[in-house]
Amino acid sequence: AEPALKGHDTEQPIDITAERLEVRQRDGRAEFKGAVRVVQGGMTLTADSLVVYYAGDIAGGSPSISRLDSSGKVSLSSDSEAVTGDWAIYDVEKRLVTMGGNVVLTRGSSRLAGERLELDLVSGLTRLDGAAADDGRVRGRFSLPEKQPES
Amino acid sequence: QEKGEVELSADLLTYDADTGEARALGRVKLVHEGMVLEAGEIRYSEKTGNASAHGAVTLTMKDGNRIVAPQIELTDNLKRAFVEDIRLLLADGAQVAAKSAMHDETTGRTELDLAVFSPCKVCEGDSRPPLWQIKAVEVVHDAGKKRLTYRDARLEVLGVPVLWTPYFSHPDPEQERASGLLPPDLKTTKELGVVAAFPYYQVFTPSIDATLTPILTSKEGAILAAEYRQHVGIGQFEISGSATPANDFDENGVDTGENTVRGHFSSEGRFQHDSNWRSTYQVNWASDDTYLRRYDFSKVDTLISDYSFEGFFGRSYVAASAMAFQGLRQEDISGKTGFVLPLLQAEYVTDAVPIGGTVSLKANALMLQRTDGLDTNRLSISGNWRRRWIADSGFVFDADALIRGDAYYITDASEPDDPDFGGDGGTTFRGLSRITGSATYPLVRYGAHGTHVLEPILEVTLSPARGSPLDLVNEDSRAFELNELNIFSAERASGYDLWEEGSRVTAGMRWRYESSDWLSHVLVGQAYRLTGDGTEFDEGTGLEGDVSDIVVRTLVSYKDWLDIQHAFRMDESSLALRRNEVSLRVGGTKSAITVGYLNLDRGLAQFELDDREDREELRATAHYGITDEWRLYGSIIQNLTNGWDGVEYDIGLGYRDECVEFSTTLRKTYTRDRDIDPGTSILFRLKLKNLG
Amino acid sequence: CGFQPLYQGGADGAVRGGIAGVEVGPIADRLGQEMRNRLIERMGSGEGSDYRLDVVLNTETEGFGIRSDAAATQEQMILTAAIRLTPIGTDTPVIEDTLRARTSYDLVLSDYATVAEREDAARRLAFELAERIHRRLALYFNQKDKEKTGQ
Repeated sequence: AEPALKGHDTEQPIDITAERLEVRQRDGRAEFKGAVRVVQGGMTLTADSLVVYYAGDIAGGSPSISRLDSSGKVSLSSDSEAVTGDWAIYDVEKRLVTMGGNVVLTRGSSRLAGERLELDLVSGLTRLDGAAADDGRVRGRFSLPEKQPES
Repeated sequence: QEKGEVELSADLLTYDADTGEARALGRVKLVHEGMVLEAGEIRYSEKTGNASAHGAVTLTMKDGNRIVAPQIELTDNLKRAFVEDIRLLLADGAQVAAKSAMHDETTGRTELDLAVFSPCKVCEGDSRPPLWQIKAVEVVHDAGKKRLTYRDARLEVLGVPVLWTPYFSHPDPEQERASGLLPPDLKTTKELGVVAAFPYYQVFTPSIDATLTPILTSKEGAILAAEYRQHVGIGQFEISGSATPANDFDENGVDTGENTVRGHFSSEGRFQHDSNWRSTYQVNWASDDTYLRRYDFSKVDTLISDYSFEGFFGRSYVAASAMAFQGLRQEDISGKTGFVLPLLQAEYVTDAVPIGGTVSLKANALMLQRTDGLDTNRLSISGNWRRRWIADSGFVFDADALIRGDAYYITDASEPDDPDFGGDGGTTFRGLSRITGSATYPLVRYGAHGTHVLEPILEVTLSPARGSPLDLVNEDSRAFELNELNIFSAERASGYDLWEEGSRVTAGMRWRYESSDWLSHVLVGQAYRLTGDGTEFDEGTGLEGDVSDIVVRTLVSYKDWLDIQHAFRMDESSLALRRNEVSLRVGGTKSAITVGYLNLDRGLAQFELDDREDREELRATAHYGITDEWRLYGSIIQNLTNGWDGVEYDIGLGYRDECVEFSTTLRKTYTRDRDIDPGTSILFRLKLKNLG
Repeated sequence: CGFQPLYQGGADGAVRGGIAGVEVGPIADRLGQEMRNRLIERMGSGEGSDYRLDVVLNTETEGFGIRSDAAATQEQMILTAAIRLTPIGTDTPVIEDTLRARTSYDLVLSDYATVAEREDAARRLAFELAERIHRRLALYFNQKDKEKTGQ
């Protein structure tokens, strides 16, 4: 299955919904709390709370968002895979998603678990680091392909 | 972990969803259906199911064997491994190193090219070549059949090629009982030069196996030895033998030019017919007197063959047996050597307990025949009553009464094997009886550290002054001598033929001290004859005349590393030591020294033959465990009878670990026996172990 | 001087009583049977039901007094008896020990006489060990009795 997040267009509009919103215009920060849901193209991010860093005017509806920090039961999903963790940082400018805190990535029948994950939205490459808690180990479970004809 | 799954763990993992390629770094471990692949880095592709591992890679297979290599490629859903300069470590430490190898998990076969096999435990990073190894163009290890097969193989010892063979196979070391070559056994002896034995072990059925051992020697050509073992339902038996062509020598050692076959044959077995009856047998034969010693099979002086059919019924017993001998000493004359056909024994111990004593009825019939010498046929019937009382005061009384009737029938009386023990021909009867009473008063004192047991002993035997005719044959009591075991016994002679006549009193004392560390034991005894003249005992046996020699034995041992025993017999008047034996042992299991001293000054030598002459000998052995593997050992035997003459000296160094055992010994012997000469020799022995 | 009879109280003494309660297990081969017969004779019935005595015998012979043609003129025999006294119903022995007795004898020209001598030496060693086992049991029951009566 073609990885959905490879070559993800980070310029698409970001649609954020949440129970409560606090805006701190001076700091260029907006805090969403409660059932936060962020959708951008084929990628969806849900979390308990989210802090958005932006430039420009949020009220005018066209702020340029530079970074989204989410925490609390964060899950990032697309058509082909889903990643869950304790926190996630979506750096729009660097087109890089970093997640941490018993991260689990499932894609088809493969399942990777570790402490810290970096998903490069340009190449679709995922980098997973172990954590001190589990003596620094990352664990991945893959499936063997069906018996292919002798190559 | 379900069937078709692979589990990866590492310090760092990158995963490219696009190519399905996962790359794990840092102490990576891949587990799949019991197989574990460990490496510095592993790349696994979901699409192809292949994996490639780099950096100190170890592949541990389900049966415990491990492949070690700098790089391993796993293909065909991780079933086939292709490895470059691999080391296959078998479960019990043996290992095969190779330029490259291909392992197939489904068939369990590992084919290694330009491989080297060695059973020695080689720890990683140990660059020294193992003591011995087999190099081959191709080695196939078949985990299923548990066998290693070599093509174009060369055996190397300490790096020196010793043997080459186009095809060679042996069982995987883990396999206990499988046919195949056993480890070769190399040694040198003075008579045979270099000796190399190549045993081949063949298992026919779970209860039958055999070993065929061709032995090559530098001085005496080839010997073929074989051993066959079989378990039958009710018991088991074993047959072994050896044969070698050799040139024929006549009696005075002149080479007659023809050649003959020298060899030996032996067999033994035990069969339990039912809960009471059983038979045991042994057969031993050698082609000539010195064969067994010259070809280093055994040092024994006499070969005994016997068969006995025994019945055990609680305390009662019945048996029929036969016995034959082959004397290997120069003075043994086969015509004069008696053989037993048959010996019947029976003892019935009654359950009835008349006057509280045990009654045992015994019958013993012997037919001792000689091909050209005196034949002795004896029948003895006896009844014996024994009882022990323990008085309130703590005295222990033993009563022992015996009546016995013997009938002898002697033929060829004019040709005894030893004139001193011959007898009149024809039939002779004798009736014998005795009543023995003994009293001991064991006293115990519990000291602070140990307990003392003091036991005065007094024994009185009443018996007619003369029970046996004067000139009766003696076949079974020719080696009689008074010692600490028979001094307090009601019948001191060792067999039936010699009967102690007349009444006598024996007095003595036994003292025993035992504490947690110390054990010491002293025994003293002497016998006094009341009636009879004691002439049935030869001068020098200690029991001749009216007053016997004084018998003493002391034993002192401290913890488990010191043990001194001193047994001696003093002449009753001159207190000269007739027999004096000291045996000392100092040390634990790893290192110990033993010393044995013997001095016989008995004056028994009025015999024509020299088998009981006086002699003095000092012998000592020592072994010292330098390390767990290295051991130093030595032994000396010194004949002091007339001066300080050496008999045999040995000093040697031994090494033993899980894969090899070798020893070198310097031996100097002074003994000569027909074609075995004295001299100095350096003996070397190498045994390769763990080759299945 | 502190010595007192080992078998105090005679037939019904604690020692005698204790020993009478010992059952002597079968001992292998004719030599074992003869030793068992002698033990039973000395200990009373040998069919007791409080304790079980197990004995395993092992004979070792070694030639010495070596002549100039390497033939041995003396033979040493060591009989070892591994004994175990176990209260019936349990399997922890109260006595577990190895007793050793040694003797030596001439090796004479007549092979039959040497075999007869060897068998006689083994029998006498077995009887000596039977006596020592009997003393050992007496000591055990004597001490047990002493502990019980607090002497």
